[in-house]
Amino acid sequence: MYNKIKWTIMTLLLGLSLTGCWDYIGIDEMTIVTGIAIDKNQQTQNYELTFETISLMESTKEEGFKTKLIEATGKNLLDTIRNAKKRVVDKLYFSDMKTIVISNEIAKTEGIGAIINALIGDAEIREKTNIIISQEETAKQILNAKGIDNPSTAYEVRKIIDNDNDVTSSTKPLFLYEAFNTLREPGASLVAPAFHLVKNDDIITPELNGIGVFKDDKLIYYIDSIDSKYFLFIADKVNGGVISLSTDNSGKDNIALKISENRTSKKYSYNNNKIKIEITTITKVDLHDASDRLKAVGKKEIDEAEKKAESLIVKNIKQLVAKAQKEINTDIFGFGNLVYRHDPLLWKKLKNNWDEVFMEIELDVTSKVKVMNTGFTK
Amino acid sequence: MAKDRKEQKKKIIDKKVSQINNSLNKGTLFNNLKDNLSYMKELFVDDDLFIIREIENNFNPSFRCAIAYCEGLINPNIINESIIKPLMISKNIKKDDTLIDHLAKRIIQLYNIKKTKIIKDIVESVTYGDVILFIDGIAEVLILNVKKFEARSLTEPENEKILIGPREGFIEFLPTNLSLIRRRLRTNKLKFKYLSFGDKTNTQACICYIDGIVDNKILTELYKRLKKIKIDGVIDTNYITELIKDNRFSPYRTTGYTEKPDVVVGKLLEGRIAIVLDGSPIVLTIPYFFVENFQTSEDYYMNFYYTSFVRILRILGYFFSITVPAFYLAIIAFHQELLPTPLFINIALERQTVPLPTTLEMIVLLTVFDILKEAGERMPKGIGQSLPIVGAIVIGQAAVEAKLVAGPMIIIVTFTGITSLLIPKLNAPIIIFQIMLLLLSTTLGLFGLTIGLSYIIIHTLNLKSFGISQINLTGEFKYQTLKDTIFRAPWWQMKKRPKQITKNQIRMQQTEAKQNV
Amino acid sequence: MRKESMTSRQAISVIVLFIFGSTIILGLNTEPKQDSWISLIIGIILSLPLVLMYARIIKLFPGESLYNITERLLGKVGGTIINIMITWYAIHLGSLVLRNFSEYAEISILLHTPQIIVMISIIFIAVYTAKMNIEILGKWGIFVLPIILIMVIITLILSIGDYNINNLFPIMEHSFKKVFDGGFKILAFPLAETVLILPLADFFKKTDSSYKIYISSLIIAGFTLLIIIFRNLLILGTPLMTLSYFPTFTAARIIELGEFLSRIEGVITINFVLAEITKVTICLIVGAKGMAKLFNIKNYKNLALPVGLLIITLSLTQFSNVFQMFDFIKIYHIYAFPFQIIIPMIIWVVGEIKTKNNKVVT
Repeated sequence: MYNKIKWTIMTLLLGLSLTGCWDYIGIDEMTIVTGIAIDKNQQTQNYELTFETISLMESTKEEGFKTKLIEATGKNLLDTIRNAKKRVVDKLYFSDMKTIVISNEIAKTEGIGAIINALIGDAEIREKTNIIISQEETAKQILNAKGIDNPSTAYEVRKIIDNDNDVTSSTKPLFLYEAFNTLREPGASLVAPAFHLVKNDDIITPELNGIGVFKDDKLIYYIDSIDSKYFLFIADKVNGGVISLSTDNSGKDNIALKISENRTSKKYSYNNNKIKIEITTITKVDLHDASDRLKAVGKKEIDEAEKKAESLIVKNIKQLVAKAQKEINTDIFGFGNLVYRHDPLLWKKLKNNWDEVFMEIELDVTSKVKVMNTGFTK
Repeated sequence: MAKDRKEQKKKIIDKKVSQINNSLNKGTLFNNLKDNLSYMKELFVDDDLFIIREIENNFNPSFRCAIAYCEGLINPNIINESIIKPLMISKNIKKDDTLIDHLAKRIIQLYNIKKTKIIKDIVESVTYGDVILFIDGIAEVLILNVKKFEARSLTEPENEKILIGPREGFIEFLPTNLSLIRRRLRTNKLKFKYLSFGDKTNTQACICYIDGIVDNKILTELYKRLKKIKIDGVIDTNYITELIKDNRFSPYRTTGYTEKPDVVVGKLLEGRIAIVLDGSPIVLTIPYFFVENFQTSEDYYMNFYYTSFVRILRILGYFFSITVPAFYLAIIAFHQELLPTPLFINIALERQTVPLPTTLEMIVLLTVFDILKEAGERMPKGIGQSLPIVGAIVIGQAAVEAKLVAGPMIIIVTFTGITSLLIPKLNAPIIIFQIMLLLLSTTLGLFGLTIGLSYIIIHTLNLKSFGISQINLTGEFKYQTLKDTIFRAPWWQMKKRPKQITKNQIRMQQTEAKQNV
Repeated sequence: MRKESMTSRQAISVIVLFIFGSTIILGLNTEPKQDSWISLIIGIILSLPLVLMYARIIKLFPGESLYNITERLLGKVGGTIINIMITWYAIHLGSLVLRNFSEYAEISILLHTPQIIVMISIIFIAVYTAKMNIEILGKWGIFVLPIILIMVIITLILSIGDYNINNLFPIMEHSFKKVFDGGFKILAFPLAETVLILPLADFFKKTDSSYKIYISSLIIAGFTLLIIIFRNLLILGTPLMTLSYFPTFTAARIIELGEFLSRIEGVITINFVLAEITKVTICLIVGAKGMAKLFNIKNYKNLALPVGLLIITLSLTQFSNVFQMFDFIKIYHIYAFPFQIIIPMIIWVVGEIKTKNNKVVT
């Protein structure tokens, strides 16, 4: 009996002396990073990182939190992140980081592959961190600007992208893990949201401005936010947004179609060394009459609007693909991946000169638009 | 050497004790009244409560006798009327061989009379409110039952208050308690067996069970364990509980307890055995299942949907009260990534000015809560009820405002404290496991918490009560085995008794059940 | 003393947990990339005859441990050799599994905690369980398996928004040989590891069908693993799933449903620990039983602690870093071949012949 107690006490003592709190870290002893901007100094070839962090000292419960920027330079990315610690008291903490801003220049000249590889291996950085491209001179400028609602620009950017798809459908979010995957998927193409700065009520604020498209991991082109909708039509990522068109001959866009649902299917066929892509979109819309005459919308008008919208979608999609074939010279739509998914053997044959094959691709677009209702008024 | 001496001393003491005991056991009475009385006086020397009253018959002066009793335990009216009066004025007393029987049968007008020659019996009876009648010339005495104890009236037990259902509670007097049970079970199958515990206290206890339902294996196991008890005195049933426990170091209970006769009857009907102890309003029931920790008598008196819901709440309450502090700590100090960002920032802001590390903060606050709780229970009724609430609000709010503790911590501690009140029967495991998990998650985070929980799960699964597993997980989840566990099935579905306790399982005839449907 | 035994459902849940063991941490062999699920199905089909063979061995000698059978079938020397091998395999597997988990812990949740602490914690629970009546392990199985399955279902439902059906295509891109090879590796780890249940056969009730126990646990475990592999593939995509050390953990990190139900990866760890404990405990019991048989000790429970310490030592010393561990996992199927297939085959064949000739006195 006493032996047992003696042993238990000894084990407990031994256990207590052996254990420490190795991973214990106070929640207030961390510098919470909300976003990183990655730039590169062209002269020194050093990375210049800007961290947006939450300043616990300045924040109060009543007024919400405040952010501050921390800068660091270093030879490579992980080194730079460590260097930042030299300037702050507490360890940098990345699990709540929402946005990575990559500068235009790095994306264009160097590619983002190295950055993504470095970041995805980190245990703290989450796989669902957003990657965006800064269209400004440096990435830092985006984080330096103030968001309209959220005290943290990084969070603001994240929310803008999250909600974009349902309202305007002008961009496709890119998560860290998706970027990692896409770079390794045969024939797939990388697309990232692009941001620029605009003046709003005298304050400079970041605004979503379409998408940047990549060849491999290098940025090659920006698609503005009007064309990007049709890019999303091809990618089957449209969930909202508006198509405006005119049904009379005044040339004014008198009708707005609010997209409520869209489904795109893509098929390919292979004949005589030529790929033919068939794109079919089925779109459900709500019709909003924006003309000045007060007249109930009848079946005729609706039919007309549907037809017009269909041809508009077809036209724009064709234009965009033609642009990719002629101006951009790259398969930005991931048609190669479509081929690979369904016929890996054919892909093996075509993959070496896919760029040439892509130039020759024939496109067949059919579109179906259905007006589901006309809002509150007849 | 010192050890030897100690042992020798102990041996001598043992010898003396056994001599005294033997003298009581073997000592016999004398023929002579005088000798008997002086022997009794010797036994009860320095005991002023012990009173001897000598009596002589008016018509037969050769008949002399004496009664001995302890003051305060007897009913003087009955002694006067039924013992002394007939002995004095009866004309019918003759000194012959059958005198003692004659007295018992014809003279003394009492309902309960026993004969004995053993001194030990005399001592035990006289200290329990009996009157001893010594008769000159006879080496035998009569034990006359004239007990009258002052006892509390039947009230509703404080600890088992209910909204609906019987409110009677046990008191500290064994016969009353037994009567409460007997009254509710009017069958000859209900058995009562007297036992006594304690060399000094000689406390009476009674084992009740329903013959034909009870499992004899459990009954013999119980007797075996009770027989092993060698103690100077038992004052409350908890003495017995701990002496006959299965997993001795376990904080869990292995016997059930209640203060309400209706609960005891319910348990007896399920095939359990009840132990009623004199001097304690708490009645033990064995064997004990783990789910009984979450059951209350009200479960069976109220609507089954509601009580099932409440029972699930209690089970969750137990789970929460042991894990929530540790889980909170693991998240705050190890897995901050589990916190949604806004919450994370808020907690970080709250914690900024707090001087103590989270673990210490938690332990201090939990202790404060327990102090308040304990103080509230011990305080006089008027203050007691308001104290915990006022204390918590004042201390909590003031502490948060003074930035001594973080706000979320108060929420966690209060939540834990209140959920632990849901299951008073598990207060020991809650205290122990709460702290254990807290320390583990301080060192190893969520992993430590899981290790601790695994330990608790295995420990709990291993619990036994009188050789029967407290948790029965064979994997066969039949409705009849689940019906009174995590939920309470309606009465018309409770057709069987628990399989582990009894072999006579059928409790409701099939046809009757159908009629009820 | 009453003979210790498990009910058949307890046995099934324990075996399922045993198969989950380190599998749900490491994920299955992902070399065939998006065709991994085909490999898994092939693995399940391949393991069927093997598992039937194990069940047949139990059926031939109902209520007897493998350790007792071997000596009777193969003589003192042969039996002892095989007992030594099985004991070694159990202890080594235990150490391997333990190391898998501690490496996982070091990479993902407890970055600075020494691995030995993690190991001691798990072994402590394993020894504690092994010292108890075997029934407790069975109850543990019944209690824990639903928790794990519910967690799998929850992650499955929460992650629906992150599924990308394209990740499954192209089907059968890789050569049949590669997919089959993957299937064979899945057979070796974890399905055929159930050979270690044979020494525990004396805890089964004689009336319970060993076929039922083995086949149902194989089906439950196989089906769950299939769900897990589909989930990981659909969420992660081929590249990330192939390159991630701990795909399930990575997949759980991606699951996000609103702000509050995101970040469930820490909770996944609970799952891992529970399955891990079961597997280590079984390895420990089998190892201790083997040791007890070899050294003629009556109660194997007295050996639980020493064998536990042996497992920790082995686990600490066998690899010097995580790469060595994963390299060993790559060739594990070759290493495990004699234990999983040859030894049971010998026992089965000899047992079948001897029982037919009624030479075995039971």
